[in-house]
Amino acid sequence: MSAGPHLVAADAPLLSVRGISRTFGGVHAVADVSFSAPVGQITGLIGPNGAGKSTTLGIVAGAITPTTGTIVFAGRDVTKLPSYRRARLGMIRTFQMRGEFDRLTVLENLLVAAPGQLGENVRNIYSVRRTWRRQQRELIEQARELLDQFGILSHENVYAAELSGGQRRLMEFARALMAQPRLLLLDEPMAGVSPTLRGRLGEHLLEVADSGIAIVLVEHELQFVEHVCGHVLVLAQGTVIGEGKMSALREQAAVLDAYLTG
Amino acid sequence: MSGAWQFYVATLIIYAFVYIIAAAGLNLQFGLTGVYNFAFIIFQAAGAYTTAVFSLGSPGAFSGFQTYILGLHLPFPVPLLASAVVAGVLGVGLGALTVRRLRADYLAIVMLVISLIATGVVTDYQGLFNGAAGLALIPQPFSSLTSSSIVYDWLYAVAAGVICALVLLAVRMMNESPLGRSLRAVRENENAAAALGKNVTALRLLVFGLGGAIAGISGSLLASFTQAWSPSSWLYTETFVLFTALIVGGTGSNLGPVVGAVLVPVVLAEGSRYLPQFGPPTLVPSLEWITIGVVLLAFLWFWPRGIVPEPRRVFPPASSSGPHSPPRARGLSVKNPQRDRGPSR
Repeated sequence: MSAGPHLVAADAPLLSVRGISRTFGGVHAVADVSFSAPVGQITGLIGPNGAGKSTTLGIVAGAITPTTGTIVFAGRDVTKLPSYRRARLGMIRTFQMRGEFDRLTVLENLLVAAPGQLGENVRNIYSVRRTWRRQQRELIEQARELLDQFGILSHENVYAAELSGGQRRLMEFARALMAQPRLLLLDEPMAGVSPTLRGRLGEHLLEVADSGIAIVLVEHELQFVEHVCGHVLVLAQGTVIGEGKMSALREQAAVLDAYLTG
Repeated sequence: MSGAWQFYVATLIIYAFVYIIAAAGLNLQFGLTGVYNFAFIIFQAAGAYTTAVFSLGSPGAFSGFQTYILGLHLPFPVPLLASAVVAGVLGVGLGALTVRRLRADYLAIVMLVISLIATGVVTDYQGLFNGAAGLALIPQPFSSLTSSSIVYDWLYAVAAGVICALVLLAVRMMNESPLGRSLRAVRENENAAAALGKNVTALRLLVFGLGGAIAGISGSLLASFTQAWSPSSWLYTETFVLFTALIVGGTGSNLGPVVGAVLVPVVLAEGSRYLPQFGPPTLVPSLEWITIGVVLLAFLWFWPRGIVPEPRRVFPPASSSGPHSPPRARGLSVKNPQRDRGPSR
C-alpha cells in the first residue's frame, strides 16, 4: 500500500464493498454482499432482524474481519486495516447499542473524537502545553457549535450515561461529525429518537451528505429510509435480495416476503 | 520527640510517599484506563531489585553471603533512573504479551498468574537475586551526608516527598490532557474509542510502561531506604493492598491515590499494631488483612467511586463572544432547525 493521499476519480464511489462474507461457526451471517457508497449520497441497508445488516456495517468499519471479500475506501484496499486506522482515514461509525463513553461528559465525548490532537502525545503534554491547550480551546468551541446545532448544548456537562436514548443518538451523531468523517456508517440512528426529532435528524443527514460526505445507514424505519436514502439494499439471511430506490423495492415480492416472513 | 519516635514517624512518612507513588502508577493503569493489572507489585519489585544490583557492587565483596546478577556500583540517581527504565520496559513487554489478546477479567487472571510465577522464579533461582533470603545491605544514596541516622531519615523523607510530588504532577498533567481523556475513553468503551481512531492496544501498552516505570521508582525508593529486598516484600497480596487503597481513595481522580495510600496501607495497616493482643497469637496480625478485605468490599458495595471521586470535567465558557470557527468536518455546513427546542426525553 502506498503512503500519501488517495485520490478518487470523480465518478468512482468513495466506498466499494466487493463480495464480503462472514461465517460464525458455520452460520453465514453475511454472504457475498457487494455495494458502493458514493460521495453525497445516503445508502441504506435494510432487512429483518438477523439479516446481517449490523455485521455488514461492522465489517466495513473494521470491527469484524470478513471471511472473504474486499473493501476499498478512497481507492485504497482497507480490508486488512484495523478499525482505528480506518477511522483515521475518515471512516467513522456509530453503534446500534452502547456507543457512548458513559463517565465522560457530552462535551468530552465530542472532544475525544477530534483527530490530530497535539495533547494526545506524551511528550507534547509536557513540552508544548500552551500549544495543545490553545488547540483544545478551539476544539471545545467547535464541539459546542455542533452540540448547539443538535440542540443538546445545555447538556454539555452532563455525563453521557445520564442522557436519554434519543439524546445519546444525537450526541453520537455530533461526535461522529467532530471526527471529520469522509464516510459515515450509522447503525440505526433513529432508534430511541422521538418522532418529532426524526424529521429534523433526517434533514441533518441530508445536509451532511450534501456537504460531501458519503453515508451508509442501517435502519428499520422504512419511511425514514425512503425519505433520506438515494439507494437501498435489502438484506435477508446474510445476502442481498434486492437493491434500488425504496419506492421500487416496496413492489418487489422477495422484499415483501423477507419482511413478512422474517 | 524521642529518637525512636522520630525514626518511626519518618519511616511512616517515607512509606506513605512510596505507597502514594505506587498508587499513582496503578491509578494510571486501572483508574484511568481500566486495565486490571494484578501483577502490579512485580514492577515495584523490578525497581527494587534493579536499584540493588545497580548499587551493591560485585557480589564477591560479600564473601558468598549473597549472590546476584550484574553487581554494578553506580552513584545516585543512576539506580533510581535504571529502576524506572527496567520496570517500564518490563511493563511494555508483559503488556505486549497480554493486552493484544486479553481483556478485563481474563487479563486480570493472567496477570495474577504472572505475579505468582515471578515470585516463584525469583525465590527458586538463587543466582538471580539471592533467592528467598533476598538482597541486603543495599546502599543508601548520599548516606555520607550526615552521621545521624535520624537526620538522614528525615532528609530521605524530604527527597521521597519531592519525587512523589513530581510523579503526582506528571500524572495529573497527563490525566487532564487529551491523552488522559483518550485513556478514559478506552476505559469506558474500547470499541467506540477504536471506532474514533484510538489505537487501544498502543494506549494500553503506554500505561503499562508508564505505570510500570512509576512502580519501579517506588520500589527503588523503598529498597534504598530499607536496604533490603526479598520475595516476601512483594507477594501478590501487596497488589490488592494497592487496589484497595485506590478504590478507597477514588479511582481516576488525582487526589484519590494520595488519600487511599495514606488511609489503607499506612493508617489502617499500621493501626492494627495498636490493637490489644487477644485470642490466638495469629489473630491480631490476621485482622489487618481481614480489615483491608472488609473495607474493600464495603467501598465496592457502598462507595464504588471512593472518598475523592473522579471529578466531572467542566470547561469554562469561551472568553470572547466573537464568531466561532465552523466545524472542521469536511465541507460541513449543518444548519440547526431545532435550535433551542432540545430533544424530547
